[in-house]
Amino acid sequence: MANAKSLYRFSSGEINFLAEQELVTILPRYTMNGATLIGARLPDLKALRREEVPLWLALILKKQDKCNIVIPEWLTVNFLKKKYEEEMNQPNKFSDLPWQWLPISKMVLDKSSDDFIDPPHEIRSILQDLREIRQLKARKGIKELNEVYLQLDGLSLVEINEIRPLIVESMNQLRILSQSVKADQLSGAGDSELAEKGGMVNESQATYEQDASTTRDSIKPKADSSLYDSSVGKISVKGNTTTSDDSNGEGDSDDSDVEYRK
Amino acid sequence: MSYYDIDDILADSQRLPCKFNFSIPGLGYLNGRPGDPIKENDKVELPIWLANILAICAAQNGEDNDADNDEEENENSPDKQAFIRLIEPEFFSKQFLNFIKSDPLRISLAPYAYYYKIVTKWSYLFNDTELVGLISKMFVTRASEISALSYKSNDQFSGGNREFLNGLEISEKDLFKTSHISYKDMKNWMAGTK
Repeated sequence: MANAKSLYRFSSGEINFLAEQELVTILPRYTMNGATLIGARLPDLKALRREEVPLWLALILKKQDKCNIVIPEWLTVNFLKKKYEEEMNQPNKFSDLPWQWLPISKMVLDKSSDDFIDPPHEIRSILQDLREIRQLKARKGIKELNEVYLQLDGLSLVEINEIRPLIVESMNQLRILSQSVKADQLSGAGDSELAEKGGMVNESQATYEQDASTTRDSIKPKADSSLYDSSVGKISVKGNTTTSDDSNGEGDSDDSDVEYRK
Repeated sequence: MSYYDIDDILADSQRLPCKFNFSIPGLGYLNGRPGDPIKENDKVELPIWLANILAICAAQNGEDNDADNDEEENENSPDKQAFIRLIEPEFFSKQFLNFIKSDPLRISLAPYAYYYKIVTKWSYLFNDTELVGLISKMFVTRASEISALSYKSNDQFSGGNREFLNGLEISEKDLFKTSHISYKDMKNWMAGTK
């Protein structure tokens, strides 16, 4: 059961890993030499001079009491309250939050709560509110599903990831349903129109009426690949998180880095 | 929907009611009377893969089978008939569809295994746009309910929810399972501390 279907999404561990690659600012307490690590370089640290390092490194240093983490400005009561109001005022839109806001806030709150200026429990509760209202919206949006297109602006990786299996499968089902009649109509239509419909051009269509079984088989795989890709691409609006491709993981965190800094 | 998809194969062996257009000797076993001929207008339930072919291929009188692929018009001419006619099954009857229209959440699809796949196969044959539109609408309504229920796990057994979940079609059950696993994974992870 969980084999092929689990490819539709990242596991929580994988998300955690991706989130740990995000850069955070730290305030070292001691001066120490840098080190080259796999995947990242720890720069030379000077006491009390800000440095940007990946989150995982920051958390290790924090654990050893060698630095303080500078809480990002979006992780403050003020900012989050504003976002919450934004969410309330726009029932059909998601406000813009960092791509990895959930895992980052979770990790920082769990492991570095003494670095917060605002009381952490307050931040926790606003985060929870934000998450709930956004989740509600996302689930309400499922009522609007159709077979070709879905836009999820403003949703973060975690939020997309958890509804992805349902959405991908539902859209796939809808596509199969709608194509069962379209394939027939297409057989009468001109080639130009066929090309528009996502590369479903198929020479054997003319014989569809008589040879339904073979044509059907040859239409399917083509349509499958082309439409499946486009729908997944649209679901993950921000990064290229097509689940099928491992190498995209890297590009992913880069993408979100950029947005994060804006 | 692929060659190796076991669900697709199983869906193909679901039966549709049909009537024979010809009397054919020796086919009585389809009807439970081995040895006898099958008569014209005998009602038989045939698996979809067989019904599909028999309903499309025109019976030829003494002609070469290769002529099949050449002209489409032949199929419509009166002297060439398919072997069987498909009869509208119970689950595509007006009554059933009206039931779907009135409340997609109350209807139980569990007795009709692979309902969506059968709809797909049916509309390949009949190009029934209206049916597909209706079924798609039903699916979206049910999918959003499935998503809501797969999130709130303690709601699953209260009131009508249980009935709804018991009435899910096979692919809908899959959907519920995957969606539930996904929500649960995220929820556990958000709750856990390391």
